[in-house]
Amino acid sequence: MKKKVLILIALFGSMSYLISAQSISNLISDRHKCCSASFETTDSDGLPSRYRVYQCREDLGNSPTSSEDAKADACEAAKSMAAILQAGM
Amino acid sequence: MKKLVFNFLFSSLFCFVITAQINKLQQTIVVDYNIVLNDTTDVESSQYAFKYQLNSDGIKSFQNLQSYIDTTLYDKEGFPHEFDSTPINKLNYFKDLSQNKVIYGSAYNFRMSGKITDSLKFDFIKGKAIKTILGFQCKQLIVSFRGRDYEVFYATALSEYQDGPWKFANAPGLILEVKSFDNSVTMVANCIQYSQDIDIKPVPKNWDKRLALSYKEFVKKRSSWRDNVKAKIRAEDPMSDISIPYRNFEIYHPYYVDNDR
Repeated sequence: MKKKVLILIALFGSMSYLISAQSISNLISDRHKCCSASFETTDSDGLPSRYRVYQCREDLGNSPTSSEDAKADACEAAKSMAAILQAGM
Repeated sequence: MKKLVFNFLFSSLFCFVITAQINKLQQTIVVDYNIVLNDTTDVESSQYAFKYQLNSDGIKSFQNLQSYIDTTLYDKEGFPHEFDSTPINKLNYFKDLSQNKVIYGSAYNFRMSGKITDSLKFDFIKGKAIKTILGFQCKQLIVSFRGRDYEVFYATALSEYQDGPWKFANAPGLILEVKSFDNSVTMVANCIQYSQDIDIKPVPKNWDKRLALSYKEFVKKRSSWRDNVKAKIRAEDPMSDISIPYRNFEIYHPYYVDNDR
């Protein structure tokens, strides 16, 4: 019984990891409606870390520019979230 | 008379051995390494290009992050990461080879750096290749370490310094080159000097204020912080995500932690 529980936990753990590892790739697979913005930090030991915020927006309209509008919205949101995260540090 | 000559010779020999030992202890080797981490297998990979200087007396050592290297690295998505060579001078990687341990600093969240203790355990396998680096004949070793497979070259003539760049140590001589087989990591020595005047610096006193962690605790803490930040971002907007590198020189992933690679 204990072994089965451990196997289930291990399976769940692996699945969660795969889901989390793939989510960025899934999110940015449609580049027309997604955008990203990065920010960088340098730790006390002088090592830089680069973080990138990804945002996507649904293409709801039927107009020829709706996809571009969705992307522009996504870019605005990504920039804003990156700025908020950086300011919070 | 014979006894006097014997005593004189014995004393001279004793003094010579002691002097040689003192000189040997005082001799510090100073090695400049160019270190590059450019892993393009995932967008969530760290990228570094820097110059670290190793100062080692063969028993203890420290490394100085002198500067980054003037270069631009591109991540998997093609985004550039620029580095410039402004002087930095931050000490890190304080090794005690007699105790097989290293104390180093690394960030476990956006802001905070820990004081991390790790062992210097590498299961080297002898390779066949031989090459000359900076005039020293070097022998090849192969090692698998926390998610990456490396080819390592050590100088056979520098067996008194079983040290190397980053955490690498405990080869039969000074490690002058490390390259991962996936070409993500390169650590190459470009200058070797000796000095009688350099003291091996201990871990800075102000590091006592840092959170002390073992390597396993560090990975657990950093992974848990990473999961939390991602969960918060996604909860705020399901159409969003944030890339937080989990691939450094070591790959911070439970599989590698659990298997202690």
